[in-house]
Amino acid sequence: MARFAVVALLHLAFATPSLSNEASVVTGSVAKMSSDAWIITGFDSALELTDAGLSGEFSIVRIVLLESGQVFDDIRIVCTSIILTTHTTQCAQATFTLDIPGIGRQAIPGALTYNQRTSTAEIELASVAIAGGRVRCNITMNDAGVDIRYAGTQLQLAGLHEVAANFSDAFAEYSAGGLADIVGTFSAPRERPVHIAFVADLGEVSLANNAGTVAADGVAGKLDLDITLASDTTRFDLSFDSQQGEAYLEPVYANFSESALSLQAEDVVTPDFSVFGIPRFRVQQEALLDMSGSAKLRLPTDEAPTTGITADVELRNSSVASLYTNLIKIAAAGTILGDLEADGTLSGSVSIVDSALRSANVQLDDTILDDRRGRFAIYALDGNVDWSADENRVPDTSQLRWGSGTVYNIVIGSGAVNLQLGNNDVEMLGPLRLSTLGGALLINQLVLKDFGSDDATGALDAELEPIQLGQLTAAFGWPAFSGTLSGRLPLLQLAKNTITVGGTLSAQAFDGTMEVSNLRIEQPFGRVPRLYAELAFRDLDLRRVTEAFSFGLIQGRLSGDVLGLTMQNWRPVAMDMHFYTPADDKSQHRISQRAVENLASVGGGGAAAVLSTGFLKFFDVFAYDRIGLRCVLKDGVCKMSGAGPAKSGPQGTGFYLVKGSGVPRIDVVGFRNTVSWPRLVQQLAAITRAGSPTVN
Amino acid sequence: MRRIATTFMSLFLVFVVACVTINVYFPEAAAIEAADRIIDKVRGEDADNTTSFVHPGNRRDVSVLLAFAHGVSSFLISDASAQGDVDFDKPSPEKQALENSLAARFPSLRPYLDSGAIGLTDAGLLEFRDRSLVPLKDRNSVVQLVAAQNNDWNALYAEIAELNGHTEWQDSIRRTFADRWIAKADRGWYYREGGVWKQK
Repeated sequence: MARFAVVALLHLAFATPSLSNEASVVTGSVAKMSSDAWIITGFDSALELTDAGLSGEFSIVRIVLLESGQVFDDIRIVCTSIILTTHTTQCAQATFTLDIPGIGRQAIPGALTYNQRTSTAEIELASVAIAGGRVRCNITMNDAGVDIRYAGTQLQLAGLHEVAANFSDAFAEYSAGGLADIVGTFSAPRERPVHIAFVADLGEVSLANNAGTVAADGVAGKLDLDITLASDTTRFDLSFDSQQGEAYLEPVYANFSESALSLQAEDVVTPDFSVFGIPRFRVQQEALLDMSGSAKLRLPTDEAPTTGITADVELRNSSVASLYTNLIKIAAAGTILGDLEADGTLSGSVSIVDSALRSANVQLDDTILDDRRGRFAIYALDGNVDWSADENRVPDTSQLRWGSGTVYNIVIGSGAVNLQLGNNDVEMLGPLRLSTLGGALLINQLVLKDFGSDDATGALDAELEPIQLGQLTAAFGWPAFSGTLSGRLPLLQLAKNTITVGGTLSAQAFDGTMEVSNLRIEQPFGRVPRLYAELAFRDLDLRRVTEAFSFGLIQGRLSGDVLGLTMQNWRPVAMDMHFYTPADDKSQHRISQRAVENLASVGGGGAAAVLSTGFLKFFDVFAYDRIGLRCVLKDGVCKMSGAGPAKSGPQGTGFYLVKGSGVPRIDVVGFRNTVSWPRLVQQLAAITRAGSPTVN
Repeated sequence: MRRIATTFMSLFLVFVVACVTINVYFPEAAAIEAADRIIDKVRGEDADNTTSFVHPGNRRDVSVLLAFAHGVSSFLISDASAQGDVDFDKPSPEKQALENSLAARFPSLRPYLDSGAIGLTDAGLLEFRDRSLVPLKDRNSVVQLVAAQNNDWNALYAEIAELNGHTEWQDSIRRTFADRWIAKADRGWYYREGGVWKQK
């Protein structure tokens, strides 16, 4: 609207002066003029004709632009030389003195030309001091509208931000710093919306909103903006390239110094500079990211500090690590995917609605996903994943291949699998053979439904081809068992947050057998998984067992049962554990001094003193009739018993841990009926860690 | 005389209040002790030598008679918590796991409490006070840490209430923890009470 005011003033000044009788000075005065768009008060003009030529002075007390409410006070234009031709009035050396909102009062050198025939005014402002820098403006005004060309150097963004605050409160939440050189145009055609275009060379630019959810620091680069201001929306094309600095748009962080950024967006529409509709965009960050598509973006607010994104995106060779850190990690906080080391590249299409993944059809290349807490890892993962949250769309088959992996410390070999993915469903198509621990896990069937919810259900049909027990126990840092573990898990089912195993796992170990039955795991993916099972050990060769655990040599057979085993967080909290010499065992029964000492310490102690003194210390091994050890664990306390009650002694009635036979006969008798379970575990750990037997 | 009359009036009021509160009695002293122990554990400090028992409420001067009245009313309330099976230190594997994960995460959060980037809230949680104090490159990691820590605190408050069979105490437990966190905050840490950030 400013254009009409200025054009009208020029008409007043040059076209309709009121002449006085003394021709050397022509003065004019208008108290008030107004239109729909503006009010001008106190216009005065004085033209003077001297030998040097025509000069003039014009002043306006106040211009009010009604639409924006802006007020310009005390405007003066001094022309030292006015040249009049048939059609033009020229003021080649003019000084404009006025108050510019947000900048202050300044005298600006320039020039002014008015063409009466075309009603066109051209104003040149040679050097306007704005925001610590200088701007040169060329303004053309006529009935068609206003055009301004401008070029500014070394403009401080903090100052520009202050100036902008006088015209719009869209950026009130923001602060800015740094320097910019700007070249551009401003045009306000009469019948069409205002159009602003500029190219800015930015140096050391910083930007932040009050909440710190949008921020940039040390950014240098080139910004190319083409803006159209309609009455209720702003539309713009944007191109931005930067090789220096960093930026944060919660939760996304990007470092342009490490990976240069190139960003283009077209036809972006925004009503308020906080919500943006972006029909076409492309973001590239060297090797990290190449992404294009359409998006709706809501910048972070105090109430919703995370950027809201709805987008359809095509990704090309983008870094899995960068996508994981910026887009998945925060949403996955506290889950098993919350703390991954990720690597590899990803291509494909992704659809996001309200910041949540809606569908993905992506190709993975040489990907690594490694849980920093060591629970699982997968290496050299390739293939494609097609997934959709839309119940009505059946995704294509997902095919994955991997080089190797780990689950806790168990190493898994390469494999390939075809999966059908649904919203929260996974179904394996065709069997999968996972080679591990010198054997393999053969999974015939795997179905998971509503994964991640409390209503999750699933079924697994698997067989364990004999794996080496030694490798399994070594993976957990236990002594190396000899033997193999194999079995069938015909009906492993997941329902109500509980995994139930229908079949029995059996192991061939220490020349005997071990069986795990009634296996049930509650809250398997929860904070505290609870495991229930029953174990049966039959005819283990004690010599091999004691060698493996360096317990001190015992010869003979050993059977055992662990009934009602309850584990929380993989630690036993309740069970009835009973190990004993099988009744029908005809093998040689011998026990070494060290084993006697160790058993004695487990049973509550005392025997070591007997052994290391007296004549018994001359014997390395003793014969025994039977061994027994029973612990009924409840509330952290083991209720101990053994191979039957022993004769009463001065310490009360005890129970045999080892019932001796032959000469010299040695009985290990326990008197302590209750032992703290943590202490017992500590003792056993100390025994199996200890070196050679210590007999004085 | 007036002083004695006032005191007797106060005494009467204490009895009345005692009668009203008997049904909603929350064993605050026990909660404070448990909160102190857990907070010390999370902060990685030895609970035995750094904490002292702190009485709930304001320690304004009270006349001896009022103190007596309080004692009598406490007796009349008959300390439901002590007689029931309320035990805020009652162990459970979930509680243990939550305390451990809170304690494991705390050293990574402490520098941001020290700098004032994050602060304590009266809901017994952590919240961002000034993101600009966190370097840009670390900002989303800290957002994730705070979210994960708050998930665990919420779960812990629910777990303690549930362990004691009083799920309705969850808010009281939360407030107790919030108060104790603020009371035990390091000098310079920020906390938010009633929507306003204050510095300790």
